[in-house]
Amino acid sequence: MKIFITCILLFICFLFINVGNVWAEIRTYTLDHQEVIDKANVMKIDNLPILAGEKMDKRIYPELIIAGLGTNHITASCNDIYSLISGTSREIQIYPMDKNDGSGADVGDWYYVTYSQGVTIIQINGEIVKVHVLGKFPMTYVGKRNN
Amino acid sequence: MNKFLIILLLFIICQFQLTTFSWAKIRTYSLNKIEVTDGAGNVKLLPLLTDESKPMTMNLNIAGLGTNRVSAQCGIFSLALETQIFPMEKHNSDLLPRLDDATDKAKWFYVRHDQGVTLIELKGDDVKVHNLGLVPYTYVGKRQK
Repeated sequence: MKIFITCILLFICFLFINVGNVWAEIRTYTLDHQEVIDKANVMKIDNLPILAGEKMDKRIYPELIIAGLGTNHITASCNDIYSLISGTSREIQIYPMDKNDGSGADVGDWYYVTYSQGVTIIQINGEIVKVHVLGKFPMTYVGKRNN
Repeated sequence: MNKFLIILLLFIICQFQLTTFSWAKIRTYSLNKIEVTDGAGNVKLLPLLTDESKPMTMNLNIAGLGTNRVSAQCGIFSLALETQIFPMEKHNSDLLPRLDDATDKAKWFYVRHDQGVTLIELKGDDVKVHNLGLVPYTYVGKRQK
């Protein structure tokens, strides 16, 4: 009986450890700015485009959710960015861009996903996230972490 | 002796075939424009200029397209030395939204470096080199005939 209970306990511990390992941290970011490069090749952070003559309402800023960082299955979901959504917030897998050997400045972790009209790159640098949309409608969204 | 000669000939033919198949075609592109996007999503092409405001052209060489080892070389930071570039596979293209019928026909490659990421977009004879990170820019060019 003791052996049986010990086995059950070990099994529960094993399950708990496994659940712990696959737990995917969820990060949310609000994308409320855009990065613009002017003719002189100078980069500046600007507000998102004004819609219908009024400033964009904070409630409708795109929200980017990323889960599974540090695992080999990272997913992202976003509302309002055409490259990441399909009308509703849909989860998609994003792929890490491996770094070559080298040292020097590091500008964050990079992930990509291809879509029907180009490529979207997600750059996570501490609390800051940038979503670079390349292809037919190029744009760079900039946001901060919420949680 | 004859059998030996036949085997030797077959070996030489086999070597020749292998050499032919592993030949990496080199494509050369001329980059002479820079793509600028304003905040409203309008895209403009401007000439690529030197520090003295003179028109400038840079060559981008890509070798090994169609093989599993593609390399690029260009006079920019991340590609100054011949560097292996990695294909960006279209894993999710069927799951993602299509705004219209036009699908992306371009082939995308990337390389990570200390200052960010460089992406190469090949579409027919057109090429774009997107640099993201500390010094973002997009160079545009065409294939040399």
